[in-house]
Amino acid sequence: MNNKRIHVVFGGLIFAMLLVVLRLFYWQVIAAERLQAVAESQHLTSFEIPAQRGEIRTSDGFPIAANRQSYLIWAYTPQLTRSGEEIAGLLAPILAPRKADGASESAETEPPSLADREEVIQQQLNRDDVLWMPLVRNAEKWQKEAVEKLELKGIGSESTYARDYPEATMAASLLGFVGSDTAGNPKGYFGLEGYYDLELKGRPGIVRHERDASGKPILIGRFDEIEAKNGRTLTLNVNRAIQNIVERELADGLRRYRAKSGEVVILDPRTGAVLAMASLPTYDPARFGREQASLYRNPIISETYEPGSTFKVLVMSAALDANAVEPDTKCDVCNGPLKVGGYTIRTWNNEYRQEQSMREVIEHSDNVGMVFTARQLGVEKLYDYLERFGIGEKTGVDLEEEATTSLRDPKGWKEIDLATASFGQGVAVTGMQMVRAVGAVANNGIMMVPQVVHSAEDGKTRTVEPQVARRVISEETAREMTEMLVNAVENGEAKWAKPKGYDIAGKTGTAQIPVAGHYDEEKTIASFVGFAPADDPKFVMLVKLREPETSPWGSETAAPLWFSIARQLFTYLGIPSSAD
Amino acid sequence: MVSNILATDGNGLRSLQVRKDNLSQQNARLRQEIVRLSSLAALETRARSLGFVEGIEILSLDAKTRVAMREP
Repeated sequence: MNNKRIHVVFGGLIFAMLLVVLRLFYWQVIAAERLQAVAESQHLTSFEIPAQRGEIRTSDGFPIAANRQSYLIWAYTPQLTRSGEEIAGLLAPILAPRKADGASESAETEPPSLADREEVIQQQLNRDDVLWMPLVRNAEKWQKEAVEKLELKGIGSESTYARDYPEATMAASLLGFVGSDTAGNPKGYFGLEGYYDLELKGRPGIVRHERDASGKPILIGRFDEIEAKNGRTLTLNVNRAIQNIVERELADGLRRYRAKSGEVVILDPRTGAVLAMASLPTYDPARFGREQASLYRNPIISETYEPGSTFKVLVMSAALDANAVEPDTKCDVCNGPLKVGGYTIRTWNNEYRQEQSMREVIEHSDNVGMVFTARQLGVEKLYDYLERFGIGEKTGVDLEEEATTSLRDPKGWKEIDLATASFGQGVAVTGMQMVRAVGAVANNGIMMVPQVVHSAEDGKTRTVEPQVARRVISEETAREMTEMLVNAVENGEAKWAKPKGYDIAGKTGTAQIPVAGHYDEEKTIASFVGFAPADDPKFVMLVKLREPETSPWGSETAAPLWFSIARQLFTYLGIPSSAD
Repeated sequence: MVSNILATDGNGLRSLQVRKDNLSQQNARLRQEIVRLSSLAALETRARSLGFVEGIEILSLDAKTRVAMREP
């Protein structure tokens, strides 16, 4: 009996000990990590050190995209002591006119109403899937202080950085903007902000240290820090003074010629450096959410158009380089309209000159003469040269949204396709492709890769070296073509607007706009592409105006605007006039 | 004892951190102000208010052009 009692007590003790061992095993092995984390959270405090997004600077060192101090207003729901409705009612008037996070970033013309803002904040606060949530990013200091004055438990703020564009809309389509990704973190979109997002955004740091019961740091306690790594600063080839000249002149040009939109791009043909790039209408990247989304894309690199007569520069260069024609070769079909595959090719003014030379064909922008030239060259060779000029391929410019349209397979080209391509119809190019290709003529036949960024800096400076794309035509051909283009400017339709005392090589273009399978009779894209000084080019520039109303012709709209910008560039770059 | 003093000296550390944060923020604000004042739009407004006007006529000088003549 006694033995039985002893066994029961002993068994009970063994069982109790087993329970203790099992519990200890659970705490120390199975739940160890979780309990350690809970313990650390009770005596360790940690906070994120935001990384500063790298600045984007123009060539003079001015930060055209910088950072300004701003604040993140957040809510921690377990600590809230008032209802979501009550808090939203107090916060919405202070956080006006900003949207609460979670609201759509889609384009809009007006800020949301007070009632909308209240509703959005309330919806955020009533979420039960998260405990901590950002209510508003990029709040101003006065907003943060006003929120603090309310002394709402569970509502707090922390210092952060917001993107700032000190020159407002300048170079907006080139820069892009900074929005948020799906997790609410800053992310660059379009232009440089999009293309260089990884380099610019950096990496946030974390600080963890031990704290006492009152929350103050313990000096000899545990301290861990992962330093924040700020984003790289980019310095551009873009010259702020030239960009300003271009934007001012382009705005004047749009008013003067009543054009729907306009674009200007200027490169240094020797290096491919992008000196200026502007398109109007534009938007304010700091307030991108209130602008039309259609303005975000940079049309110079993302929109293709039929180049019209500016394309003759490439076709004639190809024909000269392939020895299909010479500058003095006479056109024997230029005495009247030309029938090609059931279509009639005419000159732009319906005037015809017998036996004119290739030099005169370019001077008078003669479509029939260009058909003669293209026939001498042939489809295969023309296609080969257009590929060499980079038509149908991306230029490789360091901007996010570059697009292109492929050239059609030459096997499918009919006689009329060769004829229309010779004067820039039925082919599509971007403004950047066009200016880069003409830049090759300016650079003795060597085509460069356009580059917006000159250097990146993160402690040490990394310079982006100029990149040669390829040799397109021989030096001799480039010289001959330059002479023909100088002659075209001196004696062509746009000679009345040319600055005196400067040798300018250029070509006008007037292209009809294809609409639903036919060309619109009224609407044109007027353009002028050229470089100066012709003997030692410092810049190559494309001016393009969409649907000018005062005149449809490039010689009466885009060309005078080109010359007007060039006049100011000559002064700014210190290029003397031979007329003085 | 030293450890005890150090362990409870969090107040000093916190005030140093707050001071550092304030100075960093002040530095950032001043830099922002410099950038704002040196933007082309701000410079143009300031220049106009001081009476400057845009140059209209450009004269290039060369060796042949006389810019000053000595009195005989």
